[in-house]
Amino acid sequence: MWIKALRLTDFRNYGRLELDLEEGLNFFAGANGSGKTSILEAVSYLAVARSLRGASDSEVVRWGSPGFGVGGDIVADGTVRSSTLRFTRGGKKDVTLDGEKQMKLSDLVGVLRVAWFCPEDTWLTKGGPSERRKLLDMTLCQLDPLYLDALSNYRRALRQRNEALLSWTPDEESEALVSVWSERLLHYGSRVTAGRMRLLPRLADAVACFHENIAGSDVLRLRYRSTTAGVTGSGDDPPTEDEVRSSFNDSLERVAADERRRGFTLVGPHRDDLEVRLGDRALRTFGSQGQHRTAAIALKLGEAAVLDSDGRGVVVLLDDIMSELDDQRAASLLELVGDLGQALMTSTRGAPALAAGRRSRSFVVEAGEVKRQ
Amino acid sequence: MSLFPPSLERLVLILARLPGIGKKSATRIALKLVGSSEADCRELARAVVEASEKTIGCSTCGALTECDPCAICTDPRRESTVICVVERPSDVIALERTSRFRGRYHVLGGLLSPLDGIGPEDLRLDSLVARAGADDVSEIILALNPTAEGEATSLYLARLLDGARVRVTKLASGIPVGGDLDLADELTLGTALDERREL
Ligand SMILES: Nc1ncnc2c1ncn2[C@@H]1O[C@H](COP(=O)(O)OP(=O)(O)OP(=O)(O)O)[C@@H](O)[C@H]1O
Ligand SMILES: [Mg+2]
Ligand SMILES: [Zn+2]
Repeated sequence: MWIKALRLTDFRNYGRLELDLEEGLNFFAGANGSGKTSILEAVSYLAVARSLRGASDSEVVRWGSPGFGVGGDIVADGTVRSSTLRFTRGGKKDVTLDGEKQMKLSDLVGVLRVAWFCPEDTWLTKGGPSERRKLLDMTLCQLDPLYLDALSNYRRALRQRNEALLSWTPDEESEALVSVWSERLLHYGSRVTAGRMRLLPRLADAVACFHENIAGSDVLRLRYRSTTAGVTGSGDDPPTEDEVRSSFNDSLERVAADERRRGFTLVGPHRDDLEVRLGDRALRTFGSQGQHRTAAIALKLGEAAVLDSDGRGVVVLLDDIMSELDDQRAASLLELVGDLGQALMTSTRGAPALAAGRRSRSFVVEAGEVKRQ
Repeated sequence: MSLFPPSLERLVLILARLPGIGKKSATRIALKLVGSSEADCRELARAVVEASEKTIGCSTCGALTECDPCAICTDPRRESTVICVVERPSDVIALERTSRFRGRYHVLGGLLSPLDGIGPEDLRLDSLVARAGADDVSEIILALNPTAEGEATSLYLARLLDGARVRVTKLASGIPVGGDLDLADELTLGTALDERREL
């Protein structure tokens, strides 16, 4: 699949932008703050209905505007589908597919799939668990609309439950309120955890394969570390949703007193981690700079490969990776992702050297305007 | 500095407060209005005032009506044994469009949402419990949106009504997760109603 045309309205520093893209590599050059990352961010809305840069919906609305819109013509399986996402401050996000308004955001899932690479990826294995959870979540959200629904409902239920815990007092009414939110947390949370466990073996295989290609030596392994007792593991024999639910329920009961005292939810998929192990050690604690970098690239390439596993292609978004990788490494990464499909790449410097036969188009970005070169 | 005379500018601002109307549409509507005859404008203004003065919430079910109790609550042909619980008055209209439901309604006026400070005391619960306890009522259908808040509220209601001698059922999951009763087509909503299940 590839994006033929992209349209932005009141998104970040763009008032109105229409772009015709190339099926191969699209290269965006421009100074700091000109609006390069914003283009990739807009594309991420068409894939997962949210910012892969991690911004909230109101943050990406152009200052002073009531809302934003992102639209794209996406070529897949020989047809062109036109999708649009609109957001109004204080309101909901709406999705339109081929001119028809959809009932829910997850109707967007599968039309476009993206894998996002950026310099911060090197923190993937070094930093805290949230980036690693995001890797699992954003992959699953693009593969399974039910997962996207479960995840967004889980987040909502979690916030509601935390609020209920915060105002909890030791009486029946208060307990009844916390308990309806516990039930919702269990319902969506067990779907989220079970989904992650099902993905794990596939992702781990792809990641190990790329890692072996790049580094040769030790095997890179993935392991899910859960705050839910009994779920931790490699996912080779993944627990069912019901099994997760009953373990999750046990864990919630164990921390019940603590949660009511501290006023927030202590266990659940929002506190789980994806452990990355090199050989038989946790990479996070002993990895060298180079080992982290290689592992991060293997993880991201693994994600892209899993997203492309049905052969429908994945659009690769490469944000400023040349600042982190030397020219040689950037070129070989470009070669690898070039095989996956269309790429959109940004840099403050000039265009990278491409292998012969790769199609490309260059754009210059300047203060919210994009010109084809 | 505005390009419009002050009174026109004020009209645009007021129109833009309406749901689904942005600054652009508000401007278009305002320009159309000031260009139409005085009689047309007066008619519109009168209609707005009259509708807002005459429309009240039914004291029994909470649906929008001009006479209290509403036409549904007083219609002898409607079954008084089944009560369908919805979030908003507009949900009554969505369900009436299916012409599949012959019972009566109860509008909650919201959903449980600690984040928005909405608790049980903010919903029309006491009157629901009282109605559920009436002799001839045998079934309460929960028809709330299948969002996190809707499902949590349904569970709360099911437990609240546990003591009453009524069957508590819920719309079948024909409405997609995260969907909206307002946007569901009549067929989907009708099927969800027919295939409701016990809680
Ligand atoms: N909501 C917003 N409305 C208007 N402008 C914004 C908004 N959010 C960010 N900006 C501005 O938009 C510009 C584009 O940001 P973006 O991150 O896309 O730049 P960039 O080209 O990727 O820069 P860099 O090379 O530094 O990464 C920045 O100048 C930023 O200050
Ligand atoms: Mg940038
Ligand atoms: Zn009534």
